[in-house]
Amino acid sequence: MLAIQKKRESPKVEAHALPCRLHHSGHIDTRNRWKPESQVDGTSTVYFRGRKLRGRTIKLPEGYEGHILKTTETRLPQNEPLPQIPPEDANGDDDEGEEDTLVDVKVVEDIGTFEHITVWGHDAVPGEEEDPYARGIKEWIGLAEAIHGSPTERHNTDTGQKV
Amino acid sequence: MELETSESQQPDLDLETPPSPSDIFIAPSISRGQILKGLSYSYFSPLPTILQQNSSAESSEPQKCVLGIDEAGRGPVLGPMVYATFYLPTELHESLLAEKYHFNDSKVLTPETRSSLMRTLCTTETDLYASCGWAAKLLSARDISADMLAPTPYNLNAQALDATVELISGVMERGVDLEHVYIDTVGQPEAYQRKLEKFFPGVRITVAKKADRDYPVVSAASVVAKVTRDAALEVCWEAYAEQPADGNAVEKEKDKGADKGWGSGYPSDARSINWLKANMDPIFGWGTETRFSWGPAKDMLEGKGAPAGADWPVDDDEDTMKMTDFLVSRGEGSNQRDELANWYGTQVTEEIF
Repeated sequence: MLAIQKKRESPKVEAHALPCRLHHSGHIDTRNRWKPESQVDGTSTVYFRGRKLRGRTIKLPEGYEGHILKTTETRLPQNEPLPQIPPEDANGDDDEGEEDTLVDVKVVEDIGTFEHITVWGHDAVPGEEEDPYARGIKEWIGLAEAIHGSPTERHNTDTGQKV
Repeated sequence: MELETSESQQPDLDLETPPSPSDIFIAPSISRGQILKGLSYSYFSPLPTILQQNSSAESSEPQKCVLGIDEAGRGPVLGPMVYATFYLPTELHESLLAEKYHFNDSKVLTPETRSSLMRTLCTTETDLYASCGWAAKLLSARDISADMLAPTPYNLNAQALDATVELISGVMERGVDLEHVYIDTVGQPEAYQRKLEKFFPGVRITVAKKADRDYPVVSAASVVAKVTRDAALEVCWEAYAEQPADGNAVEKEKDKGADKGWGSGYPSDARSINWLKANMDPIFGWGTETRFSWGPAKDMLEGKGAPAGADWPVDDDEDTMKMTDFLVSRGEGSNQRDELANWYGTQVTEEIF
């Protein structure tokens, strides 16, 4: 299991989703080499590793905030109460019940929060309907609202790879 | 994309290396701001006075002109590729350019001679200034890279053809009556000539190898191209010399390369390759001065030994993307059984039934 450790003052960050998989995870210095430029129509352009990327910035819906999360190998301190998985079925299988009371909980670090995410496409602005990020945000929130059944309640949505 | 020409050409690195900064003539074709931003642009000189007078005269026929086109900086991994054009009345072609000023292929003129000729051309009181017009189109390294690495690549030959057409059209739009156009080429002259004849049906076009040696107007264009390219590369270099001392990687590496600079920018020049190695950011590579699409740069950033490779989708396979792809990248380093991937539950297996 995972536990998100929310910081009281989570720093505001810019979220960018790149159209490639970068074999790197962690901090990078964006000061000199990452210079997106906004166009009049609200899209942006940036040059990245020799390629021209075109971006669309999506604002998260009202009442939601984005978080950059990082899984860690740190275990949740033992003095805090461990979440217990209640046996769902009294007649349940024996082999499933063994580890029910002791669950390994690992910390997920909250690196920053964001209200916008810029989704980048190689040489083309990602489409508002086809783009998996835009669609994901819309559909996940729709799903979350539906299954939790309480439209006034606030939910957080987690997303994003960071640059 | 492979180098198309330079490796077989084996440039003379001494002649290709820009002269020391104080010797470089900064022609009006140099726009510092646009070069530093990595923009491509073109510059056209004012119409020479000899042609202006002619166009206002009532009865006389417009003066027939010759025009030459040549390029500089096709092969290098650093700096822009420059296409230049030069034009003047046909009757002055040999007498002014060959006999009086001894224009020749820029590759056999010294950097000092090239700079001096360009300076004369840009000085208002001279006969060169009064009789000759010129223009340059700078294709930035940033744009060359982006075009060659685009999902539908726009290759260097197509970029070259478009630059050539833009220059000829630009001169014609200024009212110059072109009689004969001479173009230097490194490729197949016949095919290139046929393409250009379609763009300019009324103009006699000669595309030839070594045109920069054989036709003075192309020699002059080669000088304009080379002087512009050298000065543009110098502007790119200043950007590194002026990096703020904020202790980051760029600053550190600048010191290593500062005494020798980055040489000619050709991949065959060890100074250029060493500079690329010393100044590569593992994530971003280099700045707007570098052609990422060139073999040596591409290998360093994305080859086997690269510190941070990147996978770019070959096809548009977004349909097969999983929801969990949004959460965590599953690169080689990351946990195989990442728990976030199962955040919304794992798939139901058959054993459960």
